[in-house]
Amino acid sequence: MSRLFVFVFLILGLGACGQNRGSYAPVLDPDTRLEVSDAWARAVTGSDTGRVHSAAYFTLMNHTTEAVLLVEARADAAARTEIHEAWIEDGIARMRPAEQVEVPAGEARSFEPGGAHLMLMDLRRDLEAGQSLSITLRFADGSEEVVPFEVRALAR
Amino acid sequence: MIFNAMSFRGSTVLAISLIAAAGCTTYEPHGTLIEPPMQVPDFTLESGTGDVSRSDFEAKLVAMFFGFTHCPDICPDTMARLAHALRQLDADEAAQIQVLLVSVDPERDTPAAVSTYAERFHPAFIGLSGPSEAIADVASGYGIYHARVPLSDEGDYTVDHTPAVVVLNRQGETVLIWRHGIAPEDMAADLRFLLRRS
Repeated sequence: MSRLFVFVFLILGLGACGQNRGSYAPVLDPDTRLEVSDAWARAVTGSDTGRVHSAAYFTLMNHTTEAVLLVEARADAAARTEIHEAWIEDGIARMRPAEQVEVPAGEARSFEPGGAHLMLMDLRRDLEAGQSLSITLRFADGSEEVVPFEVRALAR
Repeated sequence: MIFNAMSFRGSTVLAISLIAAAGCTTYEPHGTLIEPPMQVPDFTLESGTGDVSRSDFEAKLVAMFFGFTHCPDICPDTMARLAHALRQLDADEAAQIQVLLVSVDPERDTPAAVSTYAERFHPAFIGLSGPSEAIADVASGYGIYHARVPLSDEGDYTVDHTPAVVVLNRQGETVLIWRHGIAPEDMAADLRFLLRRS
């Protein structure tokens, strides 16, 4: 596996404050090609009904010189996971499944509320704040990475 | 001359104080204030425990959001913001607010399902559903667009919808509209403003 991910979580960043030398930027391995940060999923209960959904968000930074295509996501906690694009157009909220999401070379793409996200459908278990869930991201070149997502409370 | 000069200074200070005091009472809502408030006919829909009408809450301000339980992103985001806003109010203030979630997906959202969904965000929230025609009437009355959009041949679909929150005054008139994404702190401030003026 040529891709090396660096997972940067807020809590780790805060924990490192004591040793901070003036920069919050992660120190990257020279081989790092993609970087996932701020990976989280919205807490939800009621999974026993078999029809509860949630969404997962993250930022994907592409450190390579070529565009990267995210083509699939699989979450262990959900019966089905889809990549969605959401947007508000003329005052109407719209959401559609996306075949793939491109991250241009040298750029970051944020998956965030009201925008692109991973829809976690028919959850197999409740997602409680503070827990973690694994989501496997698959890219167009066939490579996959398992990313830990922090579950955050509904209330902001 | 000394007396006159002091009077002048005193008048100036008084004038500045009055202007400052007037400034303190001016509040610019974060949502869009509807003036005069817009009258909308009463409605009756179904919660998990029975019929609910808008007129059931005439002693309260009502914040209405039109969403659906299969919506994983904008709807829970908005409901969470409303819950967070309500929790910023004191008990007396919060008791004068009723949040209603009206499903724009009555095909999948039974009254019980949408009620349970709403209560997950805040125990005082009420979820409503009902016949498609009744939902359509209520939504159009508040200027809320919604449309079923097929996603696959297997019957999957989503619902495009207006993600705004409509706030009604104690007379049941539309008095404020929040666009999607407004901060809970700003919602709470607007609700306090509306409680003060009602």
